[in-house]
Amino acid sequence: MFIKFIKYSIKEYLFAYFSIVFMVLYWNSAHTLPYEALRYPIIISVIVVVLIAANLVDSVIKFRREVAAEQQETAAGEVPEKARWDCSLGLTKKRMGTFSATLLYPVLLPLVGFLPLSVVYLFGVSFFLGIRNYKVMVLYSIVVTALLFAIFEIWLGISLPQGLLESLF
Amino acid sequence: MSEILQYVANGTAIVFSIHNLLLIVLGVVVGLVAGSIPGLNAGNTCAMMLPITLAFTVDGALVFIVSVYMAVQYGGSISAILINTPGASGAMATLLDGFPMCQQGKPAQALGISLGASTFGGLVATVVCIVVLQPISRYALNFRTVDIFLLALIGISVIIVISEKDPLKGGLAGAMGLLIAAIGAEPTYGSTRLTFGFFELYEGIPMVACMCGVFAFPAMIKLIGGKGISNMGAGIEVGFKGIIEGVKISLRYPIALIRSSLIGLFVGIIPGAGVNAAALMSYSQAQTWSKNRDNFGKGEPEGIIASEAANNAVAAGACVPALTIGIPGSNTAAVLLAALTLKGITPGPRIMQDYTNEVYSVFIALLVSTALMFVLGAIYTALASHIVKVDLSYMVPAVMLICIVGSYATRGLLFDAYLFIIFGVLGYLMVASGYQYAPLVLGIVMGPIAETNFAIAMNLSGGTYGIMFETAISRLIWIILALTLLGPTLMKRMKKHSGNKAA
Repeated sequence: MFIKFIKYSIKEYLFAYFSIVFMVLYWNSAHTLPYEALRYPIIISVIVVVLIAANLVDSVIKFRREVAAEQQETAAGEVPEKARWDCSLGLTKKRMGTFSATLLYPVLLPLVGFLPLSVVYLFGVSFFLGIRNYKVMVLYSIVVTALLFAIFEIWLGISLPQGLLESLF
Repeated sequence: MSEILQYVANGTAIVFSIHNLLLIVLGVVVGLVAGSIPGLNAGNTCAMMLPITLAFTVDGALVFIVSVYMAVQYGGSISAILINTPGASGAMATLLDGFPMCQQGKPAQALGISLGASTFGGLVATVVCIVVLQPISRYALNFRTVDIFLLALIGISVIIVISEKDPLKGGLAGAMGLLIAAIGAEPTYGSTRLTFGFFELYEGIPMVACMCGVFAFPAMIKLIGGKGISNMGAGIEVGFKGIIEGVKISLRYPIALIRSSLIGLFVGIIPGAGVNAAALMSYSQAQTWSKNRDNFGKGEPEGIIASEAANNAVAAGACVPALTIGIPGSNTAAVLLAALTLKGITPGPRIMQDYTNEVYSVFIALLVSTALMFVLGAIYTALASHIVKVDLSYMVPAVMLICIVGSYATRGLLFDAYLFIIFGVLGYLMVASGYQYAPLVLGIVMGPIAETNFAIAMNLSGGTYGIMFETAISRLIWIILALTLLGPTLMKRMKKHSGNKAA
């Protein structure tokens, strides 16, 4: 039962944990401000605390309901639904790969530069997601990158990071 | 009345010169394209176009800027519906029903509904503005900061409306959004909160990075492994026919169209209330009074209509205080005033007296650009709707890249690209743990409006909360807020009661 509750609560409490951490950090940085400046955050924080508590209580009630439903299913001779204790976050191999590549992109952007990094990113992710038509992949990577470069750098005059190319030109 | 007709005739003569008509076409094309790119909203697009207006005459500059303004408002719905990322922030409420409709295999219909509603909202609001330009500009001055705070509360009430399935989770996400929006400089004292020493957070959370992250990132990751954006496989409706069908559907909701246009106009006129407040307020009112309220958030046409008619009506409304009393109703209206200043005209109450014909020409230009937006928008949208047929393995990396570059481009800061990732991860975790991400973004969008006006109102009243009930306007807004929150329950009870009686 305890392990089931832990599994169930991982997903249920995830956002509540984030909210608690955020509140602690927020008030750590804001508590020295004058009361007049804190009126609004205090009201919102009270609402957040009440809602966190309500969510925690609600998830315990929901957990009990799920346990009861599982017991009923077992008693009726049915195979209990396993999905209710599934605590995975739905990150398949392909999703994880795209996730990681997208996380890395902004980190590498100032070093490698927009043009080369975007071509590599588009080619790499589409390859990872299963495309094997190399001619189309190369064309797609270059065209999308060129299009974004034309819109942002040329049309709108926003300077995109040049990275490696900056030292070449 | 004859005086107004004379001004309208003079304004029409200004707009219908070849030079100005070409500028309207150019403005609409720029607006449609820019609006559909995440990261470019009406304010920054018009600001980017400002240097170009130096080459134009006074009326040419005004006509061009308002054409861009009107078209961007519609353009924002294109990416909201097709890739779950609002191009402009005013389209945030559009994606709540637009993207689900797209997933149901009806992207063209959803875009058509949006086009029909945007055109209707733009036309109705502009016509009303022309007729009552002078009296409503005077009335707008009666709104105090506390009233704008109360209007923001109506926008925030959408959190409760859209979290009907799990109000506790939705409420927590929304409240956290409001608290996240309180990062950065405090509005009255300027002291910073939770910036971790990053100057980039001084002005608060950048909307584009936040919206792209929370909406597009999880949506794209979730799509991996599926068939495509639409769950309908080969049966997806794209192209011109679907757009026209969508436009026809939008016309089946005349009350929603009129109500949303008037809400957009009303909120647009109030300086500082903004397009987000208008779209969300209109959405919450639509859901409150709709017969199909249970279908909201699942692909309800009325949801798209409410948001789109209102955000285009804001464009007309925001020009009223800007051009009559010199107070911009929105960032974009501020750009409009900047264009005037560049031409050597000082914004203020005298504009209406000294440049009356030019002021009326702005509204005629809004009418013409709205009509053109309908034609050019239909063509552009028909082409854009094919995007849903693109293989996801090509679509996902391209959308991610657009979002990263769009986030970066808004302020030219790499920090915003990192924020896109942070909000993306947060959005994904929320989706994976059964939370809706829309209330979080709604809180972040409405937070600064609510906090700034609340802080000013409290300072003015010396901390007395009674200021919120002082005037007739505040009391009226409280009644609307109460009706928004309690209306659906009351209507359900009344229905049940009348059902029991009939039985």
